[in-house]
Amino acid sequence: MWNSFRTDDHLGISAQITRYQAGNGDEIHAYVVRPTGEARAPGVVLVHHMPGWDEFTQELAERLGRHGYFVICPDLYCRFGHGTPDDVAAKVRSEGGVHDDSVVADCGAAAQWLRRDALFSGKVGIIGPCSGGRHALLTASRVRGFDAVVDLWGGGVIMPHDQLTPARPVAPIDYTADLDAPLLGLFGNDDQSPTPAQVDEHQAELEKHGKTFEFHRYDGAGHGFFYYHTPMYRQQQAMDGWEKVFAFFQEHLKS
Amino acid sequence: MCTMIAMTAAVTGMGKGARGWFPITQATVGYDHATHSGTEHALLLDFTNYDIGVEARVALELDLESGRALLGQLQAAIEAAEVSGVAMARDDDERYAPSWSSAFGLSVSQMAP
Repeated sequence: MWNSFRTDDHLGISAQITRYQAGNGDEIHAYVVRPTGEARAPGVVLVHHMPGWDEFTQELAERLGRHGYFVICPDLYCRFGHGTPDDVAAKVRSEGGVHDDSVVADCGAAAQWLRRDALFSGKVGIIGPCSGGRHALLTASRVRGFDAVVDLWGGGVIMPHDQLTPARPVAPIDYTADLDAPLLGLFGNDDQSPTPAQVDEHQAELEKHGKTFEFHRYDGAGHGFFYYHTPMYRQQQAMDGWEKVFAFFQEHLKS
Repeated sequence: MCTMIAMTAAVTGMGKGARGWFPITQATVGYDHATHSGTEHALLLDFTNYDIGVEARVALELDLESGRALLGQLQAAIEAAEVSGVAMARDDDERYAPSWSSAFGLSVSQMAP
């Protein structure tokens, strides 16, 4: 839980940008956060959102690290070039977005990278906000071996045929039968994507396939209610949501 | 929400970015997450040249009302230019044909008289 560490704990993290062999054998950047100390730690693949591999994402990785998770956050836009996060995101946007297959391959390879490290304790989760939530769900459905997945208000899980694009050719909901990990979903009831009706539809599909999941829906919140750097931030809903994330990862990654 | 709304057009012109003027080859118009406007979404206008690099970009974030106002005045300016006859004359005259790549390649001292 947040702010529940003991003041005599030897709490610390190290964080750095590294390179790892991702999808297609390409070397791409990743932001890696390691809890310091001797104890091994469960792994988490953090999937950045559409605005890019940005400062918010790095701070999110550090928060997870301070709670004892060994985090790797791939730069999914690495192949598009380098500049400020919004410059790179603009280029990705102009090209129709990053391809789902590329993201799934990079995130699957990131989990493998965690498993090869001596710090890794044996379980790995995946989490992402916004498009990262959609991509986390997609990855956990198409890549075996994840122990938990957290979808933070990911839109585009349900996609009518006319919304499919070359970069996003299959709606993640169509992979529900293949989902291989318990799922936590957090959603704002004022969000336009996903709408509450779409969350209902996703929930019905998960129930139909007998999947393990828990959804939490917040009144007074829309999209991106964890984003403390934007007007979308909702303090009470965000803090409750963080408690849900930590409890979920505690149950599925640390137990 | 990620709208994924983005349209591109090939354009010819010059833009002034963080490192000075550079030739513009592409315009992208989108409506998606804003990064600096303090709103959830904005009209996103990017004038870029990715042959130079990702940072060769002039960016605007506008609300929809501003976008409509801009669109109207852009159309009005184009029509006025065409009516004036000046734009047509210049477009047909090779002496005024821009050479963006060579212009970009010149250093400040070379461009000075």
